[in-house]
Amino acid sequence: MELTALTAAALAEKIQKKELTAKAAVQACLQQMRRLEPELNSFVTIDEKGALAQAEEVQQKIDAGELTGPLAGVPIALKDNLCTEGLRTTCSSRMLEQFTPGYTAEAVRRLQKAGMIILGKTNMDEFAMGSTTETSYFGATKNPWNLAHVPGGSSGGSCAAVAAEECFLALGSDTGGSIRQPSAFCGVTGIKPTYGTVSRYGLIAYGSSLDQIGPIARDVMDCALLLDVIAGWDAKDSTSIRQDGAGGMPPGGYGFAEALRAEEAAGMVKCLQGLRIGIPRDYFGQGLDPEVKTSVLAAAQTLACLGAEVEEFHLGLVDYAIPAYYVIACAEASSNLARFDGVKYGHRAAAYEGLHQMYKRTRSEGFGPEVKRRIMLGAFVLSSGYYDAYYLKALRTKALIKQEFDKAFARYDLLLGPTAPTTAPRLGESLADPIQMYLGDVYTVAVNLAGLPSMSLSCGIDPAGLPIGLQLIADCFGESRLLRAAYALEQTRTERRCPLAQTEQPGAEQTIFAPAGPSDAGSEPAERSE
Amino acid sequence: MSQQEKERNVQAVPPKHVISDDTIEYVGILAKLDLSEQEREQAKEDMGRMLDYIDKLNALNTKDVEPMTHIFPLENVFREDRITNGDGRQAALKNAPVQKNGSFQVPKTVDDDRAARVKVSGQ
Amino acid sequence: MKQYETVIGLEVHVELATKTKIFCSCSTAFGGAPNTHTCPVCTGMPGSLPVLNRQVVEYAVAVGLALNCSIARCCKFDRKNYFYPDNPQNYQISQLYLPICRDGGVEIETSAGPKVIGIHEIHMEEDAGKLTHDEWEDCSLVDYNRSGVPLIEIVSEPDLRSAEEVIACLEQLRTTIRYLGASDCKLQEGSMRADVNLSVREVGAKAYGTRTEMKNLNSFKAIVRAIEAERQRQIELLEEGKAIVQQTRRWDDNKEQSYPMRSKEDAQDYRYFPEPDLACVAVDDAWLERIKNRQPELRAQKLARYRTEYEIPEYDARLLTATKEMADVFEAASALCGKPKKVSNWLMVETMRLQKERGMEPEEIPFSPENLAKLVELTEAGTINSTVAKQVFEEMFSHDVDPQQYVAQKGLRTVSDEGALAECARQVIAQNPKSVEDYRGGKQKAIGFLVGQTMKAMKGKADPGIVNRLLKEFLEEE
Repeated sequence: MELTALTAAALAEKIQKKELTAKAAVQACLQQMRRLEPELNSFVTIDEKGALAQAEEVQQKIDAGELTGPLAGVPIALKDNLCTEGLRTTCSSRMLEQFTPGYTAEAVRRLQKAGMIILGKTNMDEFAMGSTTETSYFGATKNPWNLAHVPGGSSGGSCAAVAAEECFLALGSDTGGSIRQPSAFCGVTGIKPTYGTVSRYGLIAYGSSLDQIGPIARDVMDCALLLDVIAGWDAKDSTSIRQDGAGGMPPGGYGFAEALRAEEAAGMVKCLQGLRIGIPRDYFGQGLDPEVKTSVLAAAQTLACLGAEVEEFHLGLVDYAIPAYYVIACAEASSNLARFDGVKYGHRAAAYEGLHQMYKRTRSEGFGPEVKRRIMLGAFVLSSGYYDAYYLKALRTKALIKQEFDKAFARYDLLLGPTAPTTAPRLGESLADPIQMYLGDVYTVAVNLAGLPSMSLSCGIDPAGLPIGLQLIADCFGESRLLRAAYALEQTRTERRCPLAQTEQPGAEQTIFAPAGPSDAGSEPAERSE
Repeated sequence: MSQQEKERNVQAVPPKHVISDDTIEYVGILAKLDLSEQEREQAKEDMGRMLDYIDKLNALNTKDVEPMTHIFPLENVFREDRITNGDGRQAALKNAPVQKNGSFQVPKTVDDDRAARVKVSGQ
Repeated sequence: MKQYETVIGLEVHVELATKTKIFCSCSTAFGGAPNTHTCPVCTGMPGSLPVLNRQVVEYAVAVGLALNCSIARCCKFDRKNYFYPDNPQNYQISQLYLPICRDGGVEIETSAGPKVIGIHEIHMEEDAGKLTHDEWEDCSLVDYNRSGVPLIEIVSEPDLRSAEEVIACLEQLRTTIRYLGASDCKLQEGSMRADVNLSVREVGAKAYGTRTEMKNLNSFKAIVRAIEAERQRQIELLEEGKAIVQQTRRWDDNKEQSYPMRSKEDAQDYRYFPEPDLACVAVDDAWLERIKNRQPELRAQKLARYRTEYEIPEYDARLLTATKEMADVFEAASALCGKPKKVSNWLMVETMRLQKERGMEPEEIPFSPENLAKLVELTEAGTINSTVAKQVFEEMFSHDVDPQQYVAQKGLRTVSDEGALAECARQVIAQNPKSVEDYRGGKQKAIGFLVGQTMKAMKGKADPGIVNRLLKEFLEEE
């Protein structure tokens, strides 16, 4: 089997056992990129030299027995809104086309400490604003399962790269679903952790009160391993949570992966006995694709078979999450993106008269339409006379939404629903109507407003060959529960490998590169052969 | 009427929020954006539609609800008053579009002709 | 012409004396090369996040307590959004909705007597960077060394009615804050900056007039001039039947004129909203108590105590308590030597003279109270005379020498051996027949010259009382 098809955990084990080298892993990824990038466009920047140098260094430390962690030597891709010292960080914006940070994000520093190898920076919606990765200044990323479709967004590049096996793992960021929705569209597994679990230091902010960095992987165990590496208190982020055991915070280290391994060792029979799972009826109403509905409900069935008590319930205020989210996120964004002004870094207009024209031209040239739309809306809702009616109203709504979740978690350990109402839309279909695009976030944004941990994993394939994702939601700090249920569910699933990733499938490329259309429904994805 | 027709009907109703040229110009000043004629028209329409949609919130009774900024009651997160940063000039200026004498260069600021001028060497 | 009353409120920015900036661990030291005291946080780099300096809260609470404010149990930071190049994020982290201190007062004294000026609130915020204007290239240059230096903004109620009251209020604030060690409050260096909100109204009117805000006031003199000019400007407008525009104006002290500061591009709409990157600050009872216990005795309390504890004139007490440093030296030295009046004299006369001569601030006292006490003891015991004492004091002021050691090393003890003095006096009499004649001829004053000559011959170390007595004896006997 191909090297790139290995899970990160398996790869790291082989590297520790000297069956493989970090360099070989990096080269396999680079090879895959060379083959796929011209079409896929998952990456904004590929750091080939840097990755090979890191591989060398990491390998030496592994050989010396200094690096023994479960992900040492594993190549990873980073969403391009995570600052990396010396490596261009663009947020997929013309504004930062030439920006090279002078420091590295805390989450990335933790990866480096764990001996992981950074391959490059992945494409995204400009400043994480969008749900399709089409608002990128560097062109859209395509969905590796069907190149006529979008990968979702805003972490579309990270999810596509993981699915297409250009990397083993990736980091994304999630403000209103930006990890979970593209994970669903690309058939990978992604977690938005509890707000405060991963330091935001070095994450270029979109909506500061909603942003969280999270792992993207091909399976649950890899996701847990990566979350273990990046989670933890950081003195540089005042909103990061201390693990001092007080106030419901987990004592000591998180140890997510270890818990799963223990679970596995104990045998997964009826492992979800006693787990109460609530299905918000409100997530299955109008607008939900029947295929998606069927797949998610089938997964619910499976969870019940594994011993979980599954029941439907009414989760209130579902319709209010999107308007509240857009008010809060855009307001914060209008302020967060004010720093891009042509003074300190980034684009500056070539011609201008005076300071204010410099600001206006710079920003008008540097930002794309979606970013402008959101920062204008944000400036408006904060402006004199509208603050109470919009911004405070949204914060009050947020409080009520949080209360709805509190009520739900008094009865259930987990909530289960679809990640998105449909599978990945076709390229170009969404941008025509922004509001329609915003409505696609209906299941994901409430989780950010309430700060909850949530996870998307694949639960099927639609007739067009596009993955379907389900979303599990836990109460704050309930990541272990989330992972346990996801892991159990994953064990029952037939693993599917993205056809595009496979080099050893004769005819695979032919099928995948066929022009998109209803006919491409026939491309039956191959099962992963171990 | 089919569902689709109903939706189309809803779309056809003129938005409650009509964004004026003045408002868009004002927002442009706040957000420091210069819009072309075409962009301006589009922005007026988009913002109006967004605000119509956001008005959904008005159906919700939020009387006596405290606005929630942080999810967790975060309190008293401090640093101690110890200098740990050194000379950051190089890193600060690395990406500067225009720089001079170790400083960021910008167009003359508004108050310039009234401010006390500080002569800076041309070399 | 109608009679007008001036209504003034102050917004006083004070740079706090922390070692590091409010939200990052960069030095606040003054005068580094441009942008050397910077990091990702205070240059607004994408992805950077603020973390609050605990000492800033401690100072803000200390000032609030000293100004009789109520301290918020939970206060929050807000973002104030506006574009300007000295502000790297294009928003300033400040406090609007829940400031740390509210509802206090500061007692001032003017020629009209005492008065309390209300303090509306005190909030914490970050300072901006520095802009310099480059004439050669017709551009401005930005230095972020000051960006993120912690400030408190003290906002008074519109209780002030004259420039005299404004100055008294600022001086009282400055003294108090210096006592607390929270800032050095130097107007010239910008560590204390006062913006003046001023309106006028007809005497007897209830409603306030439209106010303007005056910025760029770099000295007390400039403040006085600006208040007078703005008062005149507003009265003239009103007399002409014109409206006063609410605006921010910039004072040009050279031209003694002010100008409106903002253009159309600066909509004064700051879109404040709660800072999502910072936690709230909760000052609980225990913390408040700790800060209270650390509060030094403030000037008013000290003055009251001096009146009863030390027998020194009110004038002296006021001068001595003008700075905490001076008062501390006074109290410590007095306690050591038990002669407060003598200590006070040294501080009020010689210390202040030398400070002035050498361009030093009143709080710069270069010698220890121990040494001053020793000097007082030496003079009181007659070990040295007052001339020598002054000489020793200068040495002590310049090099903080131990007066006892210095006197011993330099052999400055007063000579009270009558034999040696008598010999010297006789020589002086022999060498100055003219003066002797004058004295004997009835000119009593001529003895002064002879005393001086004897002291000179003794290199100043003689006890002038003994010299006087001996000279008289010798002059009488012949």
